[in-house]
Amino acid sequence: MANSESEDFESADEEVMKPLEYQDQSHQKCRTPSPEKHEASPPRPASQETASLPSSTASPPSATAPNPDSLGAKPKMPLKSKTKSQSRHRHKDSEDVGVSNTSRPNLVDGGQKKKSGSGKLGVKITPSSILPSEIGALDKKEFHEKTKVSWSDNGSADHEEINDSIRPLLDKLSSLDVVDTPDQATDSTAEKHGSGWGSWGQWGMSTIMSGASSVSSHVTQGLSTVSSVIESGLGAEDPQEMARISVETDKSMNLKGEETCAAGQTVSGFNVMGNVLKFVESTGEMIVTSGLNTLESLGKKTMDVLQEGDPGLKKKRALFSREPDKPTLSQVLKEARGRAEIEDKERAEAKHASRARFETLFDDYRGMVHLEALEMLSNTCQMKLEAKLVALSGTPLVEFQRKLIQVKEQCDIPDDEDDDEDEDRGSIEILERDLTAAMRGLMVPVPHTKLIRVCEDTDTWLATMRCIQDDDTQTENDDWVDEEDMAEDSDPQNGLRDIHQQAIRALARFTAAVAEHFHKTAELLLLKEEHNSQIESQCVVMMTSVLCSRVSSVAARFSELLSASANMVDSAQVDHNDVNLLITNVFLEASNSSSYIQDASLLLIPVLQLGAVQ
Amino acid sequence: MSYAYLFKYIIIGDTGVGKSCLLLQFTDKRFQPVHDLTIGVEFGARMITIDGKQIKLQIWDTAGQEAFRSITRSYYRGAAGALLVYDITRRETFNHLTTWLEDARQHSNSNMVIMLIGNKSDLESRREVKKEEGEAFAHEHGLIFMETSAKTAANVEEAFINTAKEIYEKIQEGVFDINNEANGIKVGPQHSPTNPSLSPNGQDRGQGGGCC
Repeated sequence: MANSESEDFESADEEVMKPLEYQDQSHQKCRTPSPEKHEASPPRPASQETASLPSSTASPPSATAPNPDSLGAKPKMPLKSKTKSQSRHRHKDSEDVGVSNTSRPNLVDGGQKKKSGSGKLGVKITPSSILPSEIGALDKKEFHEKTKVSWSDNGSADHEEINDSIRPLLDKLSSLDVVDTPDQATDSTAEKHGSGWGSWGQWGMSTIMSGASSVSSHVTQGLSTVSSVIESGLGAEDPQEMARISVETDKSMNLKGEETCAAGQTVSGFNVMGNVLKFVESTGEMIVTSGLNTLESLGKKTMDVLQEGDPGLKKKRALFSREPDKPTLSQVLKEARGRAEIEDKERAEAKHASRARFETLFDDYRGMVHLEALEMLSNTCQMKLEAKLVALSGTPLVEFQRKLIQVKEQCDIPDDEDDDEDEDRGSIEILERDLTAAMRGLMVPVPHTKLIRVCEDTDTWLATMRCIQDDDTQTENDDWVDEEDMAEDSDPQNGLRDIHQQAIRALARFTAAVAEHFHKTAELLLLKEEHNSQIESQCVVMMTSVLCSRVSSVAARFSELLSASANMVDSAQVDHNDVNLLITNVFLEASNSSSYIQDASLLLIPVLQLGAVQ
Repeated sequence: MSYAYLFKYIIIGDTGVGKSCLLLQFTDKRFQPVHDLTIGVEFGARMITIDGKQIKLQIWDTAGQEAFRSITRSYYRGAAGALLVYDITRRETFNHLTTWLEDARQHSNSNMVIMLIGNKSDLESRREVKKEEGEAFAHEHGLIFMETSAKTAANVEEAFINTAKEIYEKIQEGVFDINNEANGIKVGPQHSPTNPSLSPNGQDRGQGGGCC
């Protein structure tokens, strides 16, 4: 490391000497207009920023002490003080920067090595990333304006010209900034551009040691342009501020100089340093230096802060670069919330669905197991009938078959039931009357009290609901659903769902009771000694018919209640499609219920047949 | 109510031995001294837990009256387990066991697990059938044996649950074909037959008095 540095220094020294004269002139020239400039452009951020200079300038020397490169970082700026000749020269230089870069690979490399050695500048940064951060202190636009102002303040055509020549470069720089390719590795970018902090450091170094001319050869086109622009922009400082800053700068430079010596740099380097110090004093370069220092220290400080725990800004770069395709936290949260809502909804719907499922409820009320038992009985009877059938032949067989067919025909349920008296047929009175008659006809002591109780419960519930609706149409929905466990719900949609739920429950409970009734009837029919199959069949048909009518009636009344409730509440709150869906579902389950009842009655046929042939 | 398996049980035995009371004690945890005569068959159901699995026991409580014998025979089919109950205070109920057993064996599948239960063990003073007799009968016919009291609930849980365990073991051994519902076993809705190790969601649900 030390070797390469010293080599760099020597090579730098050789070429530094030439441009030094340039520098001389340029700085002298620069000096005179600067105070005027300063007055002309009064409240600039740069002057405010200088306030932070003492602290920021104070820190670099200690931080960068062992590295001569970083020592020079600040003073280097003056090299670029813009006279028109120098600007032009630089401009030219910068235009074929590729050549200068490639022709001096050592220097660039050295710069980078040094840069990595320095605590402050230890991170390679592309010009594109530096510039924004540094210039960021000022506003980029502001910066342009300032540059213009300072040029126009000078009022010289040359300045205009230079300004013109610089502008494309500025544009180029800003485009560089925009185009900054984040996926490119920092290192490779730095190497490609042959600049970065390392170059800045080198820049400053060479300033101290050799003066202005060497800079152009080390520094990339963009940087040199920028530096001249910066100088032009910051050329004017408040004289008092300037004086203060210059003292500080000198101090820090002295410090650096001492450190450089301590670091065992070459004598020639030391001499050059001395020269430069003198030179700086004599030319009042500090005007520029202070401004640049301000910028640089701000930039460095910014970089320090940015790079805290994030060397190479890799994390931050990754953060920004992935922004487009990587979901942001808010997006993630939004998605998570959306998912949770969907899950909740699904869970609630599943809950509703399971609660409302007819089959489940029918099973819960043991309708299914009664049907199963009835089926087993029916199958047993069928097997017995077949056994008898096989044993018979001739006339008895024909007679036997005739009886079986007769019973079956008698059990055919007339499907052209008159709907005129629908309302009546669904009433408990009719149901009880018909059931009692049927049981008497069947001569089996199956109590229908359970069936009647189920019907009464349903009727009571429906009556209560209708009563509430009639009496108090203004009542909130949650008032009329408090009979059930949904009192806490004031959502009319839930109110409707609860009615639907109640409808399905009533149907399932009734159907289960019917299944049990048929099951018990079958059992007792099998125990009966004497049979009148015709009457029995008629009774079964009557029973089935009245029970199915009851189902239809219950479904119709629940549907009426549903539509009435839907009409009662604000139409905006209720989706009428949903209401229709609920009503449709009630009728669907009612037909389901009727199917179960008719199936049960069909299962009775073998039982009746067995009785008929005994 | 989701379950991994549903076992169909059938309770058989002479009238008045306490079949319905056993069922009521098991499902409702209560005792009803005076019970209506059962007509044909009545049903009861309860969820239990075996080996971390929810198992629904669907219990068919048959009428013990001789008149219903022909009917109740129809219900034997498709039972995975049977509780053959006698009354320890009535010797004749014990004597009828052979007939019941023949009936059960004849009308059910051969793998049906049969638990012999000597009920009314609380009425020790009126005991007519010694426990050893019951044990001997069970041993002779390859049954599980227990004395229970539907009144005090003694051994009632155990009787039902031990039967279920026996059935469950038979399933694990592959004796029962769980896909054949004639065996009295149904696989729960969310319980894939191809993956019997898959446990149902509601394992941790505290279903009253699970076993294990």
